[in-house]
Amino acid sequence: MGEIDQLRSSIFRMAYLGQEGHVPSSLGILDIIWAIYDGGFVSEGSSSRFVLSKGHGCLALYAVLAKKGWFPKSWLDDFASSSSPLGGHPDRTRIPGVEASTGSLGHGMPFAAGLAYSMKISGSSGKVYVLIGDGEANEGSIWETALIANHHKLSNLVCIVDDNQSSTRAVSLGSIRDKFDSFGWEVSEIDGHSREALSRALGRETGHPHAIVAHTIKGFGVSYMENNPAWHHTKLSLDDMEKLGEGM
Amino acid sequence: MRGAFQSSISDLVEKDERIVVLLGDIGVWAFRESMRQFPDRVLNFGILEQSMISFAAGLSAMGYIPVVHSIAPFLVERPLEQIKIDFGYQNLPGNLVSVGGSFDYGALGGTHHSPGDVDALLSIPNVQILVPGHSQELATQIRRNYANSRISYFRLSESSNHEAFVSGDDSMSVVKRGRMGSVISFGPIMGSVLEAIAGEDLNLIYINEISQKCIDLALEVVKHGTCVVVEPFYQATTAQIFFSKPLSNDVRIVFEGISRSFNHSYGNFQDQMEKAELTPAKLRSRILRHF
Repeated sequence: MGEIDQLRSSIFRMAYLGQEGHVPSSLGILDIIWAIYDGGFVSEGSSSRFVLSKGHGCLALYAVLAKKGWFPKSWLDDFASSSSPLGGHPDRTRIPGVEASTGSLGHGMPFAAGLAYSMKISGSSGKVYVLIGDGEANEGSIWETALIANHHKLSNLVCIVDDNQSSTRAVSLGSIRDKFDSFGWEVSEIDGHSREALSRALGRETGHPHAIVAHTIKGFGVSYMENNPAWHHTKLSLDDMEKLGEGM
Repeated sequence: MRGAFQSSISDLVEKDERIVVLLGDIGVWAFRESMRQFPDRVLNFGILEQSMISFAAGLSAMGYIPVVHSIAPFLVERPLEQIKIDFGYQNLPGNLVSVGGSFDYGALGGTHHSPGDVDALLSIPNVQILVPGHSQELATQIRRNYANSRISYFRLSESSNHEAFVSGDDSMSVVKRGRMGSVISFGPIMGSVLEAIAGEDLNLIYINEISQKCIDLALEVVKHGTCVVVEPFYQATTAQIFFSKPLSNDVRIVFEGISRSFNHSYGNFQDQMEKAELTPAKLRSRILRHF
């Protein structure tokens, strides 16, 4: 089994054992988070940070952090239990490697800008990578931060937009690329499931705040879960677990 | 009081390079010298309060000490969830400094009034609520608390008592002793309360930090009889603290503050105090009717 498939299995296992979790959202961002950590853009001891602003995708983050040794893999078996540090949204006070307690959408991005500003004025060479969703980009605080980041020339801030077309459900965003561009950001637009495209975009030095619009498929990797809203937040059964293996 | 805030924080910005001041497009003229000297650490952040709070929490997570400043409703009520999660739930410290509470901007109308800021903040654990009644008290409170491990809320007022009612590091004091009962009051309304009960045989207790500890200390002085609590914000805001523990059967607590209704009137601060029945003459009858 390849590494990504192992991570997918970890996500299913957590969701099944914990009877909790947003599985399709986590599958959709798994390639992005894996590219950030496996590509060494953020690692233990480095000054760079990753903030998962769309906190409900945390199963992917937990799977990756455990695989990279930030905390013991055994924690995953206990996901969402009353004594587990790992829950349905991430908690910075309990989990090594989690920078922000997100869950309420629109908080992680301005928080990340605060981290980036701190690094800038303290002369740190680190970068801050923040992952938001296109649905989350309905929040005004996302665009407030787009203004702030450009005003303060936060060239160390990289915002990855998980564009899984969630915003089409309610308020259409139009072109995310054009919006960030008009706010003075450098924009890359890529296939969010291509490791090569992700690595290239994450490594770009633009001299500006950088938005990476990553086109993704919610539920990516499981044929019948892809873009199927019925799976958004559901409890997995043993039957589901067997089917997931086939779906992969 | 605003002057004391500006000078205390400007001094600290020089001495403590962890401090970052974010102004919500107010106080910019007052801080112009600090902004010139320390452009990275004293900023006019703009009119985007929810992001300002989250951004400040990000600074705090990196070891900086944020001081965020705006008008009370825009600093507290608009970004209340950002204060709750990004500072509170994330266990990050910081400083919030408001102006305007409750009716300093009386003539600007209900959008700029804030009789509910303290009530809102009491819903968030680990917020320290400081209601200085005098510029000296504010300077002491800033010095003592700016770098502590809590979210410290400094509620500045245009109105101020003629003197500081606490000395040193105290947050509670017994201003006078009496036998007929007790009055407890907070921050800048104290001068009016003192005037209101002139000549009456009452205990008068002053508090400038709204905390269980200060209220417990005050109740030790009250001991028995009727105690009127005068609040320069929504009436009975502090009731949740007074009644969080069983009270002695011999004590009766009543509250006199600002009524919980929307205020659609204008007029200056003094006009608003008349309307809220918080002038010395009005307070006299509101207090004495309970004895």
